[in-house]
Amino acid sequence: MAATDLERFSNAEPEPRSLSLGGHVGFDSLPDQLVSKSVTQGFSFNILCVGETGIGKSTLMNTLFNTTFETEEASHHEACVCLRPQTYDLQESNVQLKLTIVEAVGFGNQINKDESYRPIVDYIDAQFENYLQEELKIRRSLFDYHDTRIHACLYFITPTGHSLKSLDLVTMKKLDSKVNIIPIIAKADTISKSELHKFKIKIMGELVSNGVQIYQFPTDDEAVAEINAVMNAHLPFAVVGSTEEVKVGNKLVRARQYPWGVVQVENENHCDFVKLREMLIRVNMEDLREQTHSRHYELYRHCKLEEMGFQDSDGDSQPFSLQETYEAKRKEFLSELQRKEEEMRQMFVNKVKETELELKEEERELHEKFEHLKRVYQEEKRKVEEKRRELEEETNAFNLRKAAVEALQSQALHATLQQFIFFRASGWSSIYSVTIP
Amino acid sequence: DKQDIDKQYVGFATLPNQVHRKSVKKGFDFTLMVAGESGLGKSTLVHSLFLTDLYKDRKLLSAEERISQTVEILKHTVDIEEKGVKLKLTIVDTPGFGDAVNNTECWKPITDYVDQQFEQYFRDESGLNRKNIQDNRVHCCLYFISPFGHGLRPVDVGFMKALHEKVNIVPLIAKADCLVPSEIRKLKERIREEIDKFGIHVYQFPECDSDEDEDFKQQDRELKESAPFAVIGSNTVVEAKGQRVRGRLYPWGIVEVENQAHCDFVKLRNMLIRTHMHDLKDVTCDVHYENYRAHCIQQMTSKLTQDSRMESPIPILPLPTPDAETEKLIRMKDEELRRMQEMLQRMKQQMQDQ
Repeated sequence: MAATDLERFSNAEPEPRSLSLGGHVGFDSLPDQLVSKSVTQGFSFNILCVGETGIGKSTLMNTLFNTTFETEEASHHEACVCLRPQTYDLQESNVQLKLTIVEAVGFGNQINKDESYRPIVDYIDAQFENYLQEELKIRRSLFDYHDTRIHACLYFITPTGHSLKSLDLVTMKKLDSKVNIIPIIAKADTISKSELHKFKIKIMGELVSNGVQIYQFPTDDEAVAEINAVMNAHLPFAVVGSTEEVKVGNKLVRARQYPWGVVQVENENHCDFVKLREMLIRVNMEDLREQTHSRHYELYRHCKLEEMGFQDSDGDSQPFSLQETYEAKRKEFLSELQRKEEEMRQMFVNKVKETELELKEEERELHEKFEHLKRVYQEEKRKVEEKRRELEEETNAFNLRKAAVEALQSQALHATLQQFIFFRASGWSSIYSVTIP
Repeated sequence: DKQDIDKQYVGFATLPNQVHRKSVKKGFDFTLMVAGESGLGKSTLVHSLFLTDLYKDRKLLSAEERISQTVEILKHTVDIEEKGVKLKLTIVDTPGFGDAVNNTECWKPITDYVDQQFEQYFRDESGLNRKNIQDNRVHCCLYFISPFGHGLRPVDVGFMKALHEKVNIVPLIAKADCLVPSEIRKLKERIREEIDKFGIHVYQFPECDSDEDEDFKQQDRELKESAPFAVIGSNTVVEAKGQRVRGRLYPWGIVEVENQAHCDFVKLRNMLIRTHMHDLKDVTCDVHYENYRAHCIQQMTSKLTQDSRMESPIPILPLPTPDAETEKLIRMKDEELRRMQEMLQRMKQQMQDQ
């Protein structure tokens, strides 16, 4: 028997054959094992709520999860949109849920809403980035990792009764490729039944004509295909939220009490809250998580890695491993770095040489100037010396002449004086004598 | 006795009747502006207030078209009559306000429109032929505040601050059927606080005289305490408790528009139409228009003293504060005039003598 079995094995057909079992083996407990493992691990679910301030996001969360998440009322006068994540640990039966509710605070308040969508997109991308980084680590602990990627985005539409607001359209277009969008009509107790029908048709029409991809409940799983298909036709859900309880009949139900009647949150005639809870939490929560991981996250990862230069296969269509590509990139990067360093160093050396030459030039020029000035000075000095000598000579000559003239003068005077005395002495007899010139 | 009383009776007590007769003959006009984001029920409310459908063939834009929409000003004028009194009602609509993604200064077309109407009236009033002046000035602006928020939004504050010195603003909380009574109270308080905080001057109801009867005073007090009015409008008539009423039909009940316990629609209608319509017109004429006129004249005179070549739109321009140079000129001219007059007199005398 063993030999023939072995033969059969060696000529095994490429496709696995389905065999029937002779008895109960027990691997039908695999799903249970999986379930008990995941129950021990706990689940995490992240919801992003986008809508105008005061539209009822916090109230709806409280109503959905039947508890009171402490949130403070936001003001209308925030300058920009900021995202506020808050994580809560919930437990039901023996299942632990790590629920993170992220609110886009200040959305829709500003006068200029051109950039309102950006903080939201950035936040979603940042969560993807964190997960990607964890995935790329050498030592990673993905089973332990607190997954913060947004699994569902509840987009709250204002119940104007006409159509979507322009901001809604712009924002949803930016988000539809990054997150599962579930549009809901908030504060639906202000729209009557007929208006609601028209409003829903108008909204879906606008979404389709503008190519916005909203989350469709999956219809491939037989167990839930039918109910999901029915629910898909009711999108977007018109919800009313309330944490207050009102007595209706002999029961206390969550409702809103108006002077003209009581709107019961869980009455399917009044609003689609029950449908939303069913779809979001009871039926499709796991599918939302899966879609986020397999579709939105993969798309992000694909784009990001492409950006970095990775490819799935090179020219020879040999599959590249991430490691090889990474190494190649790293080498390239380092060589690039070295080259740049060399360049910079070369440039620096050149500059130094240049400056040196310049300085030398200037030194030489300065030297020349100095010499030139010196010569000029010498010239001047010489000239001045000459002039001085001339002057001295002239002064000497003048002095001599002066002395001579003086001497002559004094002689003449002396002579005249002598003559006079002679005249007086010789009496008046020689009056007519010749005067001595 | 009756004859005695008759002799003392002068008869001017019939003046109010005469005024009444003349005004009925002349007819009234009223211009109402409605402003607020799309989808807050403005057209429905106007329909409910005046019980006529002014918006039969209007086209609503889709979300895509509204991304960069500009604000338009649309006027609808209708002539309606009730018990012999004719009213020429003009509703000024502002489609596109607050609908675009970037709404910076989206109230500018509206302030320009209001100013234009003032300017038009100013020119007409200063013209030579004033028999048939058309008064297109906006007498009242109903501003719709969204009930889905926690109070005023930046665009609401911006609009009201741009217009509160030009037009009577009556703020309303729209689509109030999404708020339970406690929420309405909280929201009204919040809005009143924010109006004070941002320094917005909304239309104030005039104080009633101290000699009015208690009932009237009580009504007046209630009116003032209910502002801003939380209104609901409806285009349809439904059957409730065996009666046909104007209202909205929900699976959980029927909202009656004219039920004071449901909303403040009746208060708004009484205030706007039945008691305060004329006061709104008076405040527009006496306060807003006069402010505009004074401002305009001041600007013109300051411009004129700088640039005398500018053409003034009105023939005679009184200078409020003549400066020294002009005074001197005036005095000189006066002197010259006097001298010439004297000369003329003398010449006349001479002629007479001859």
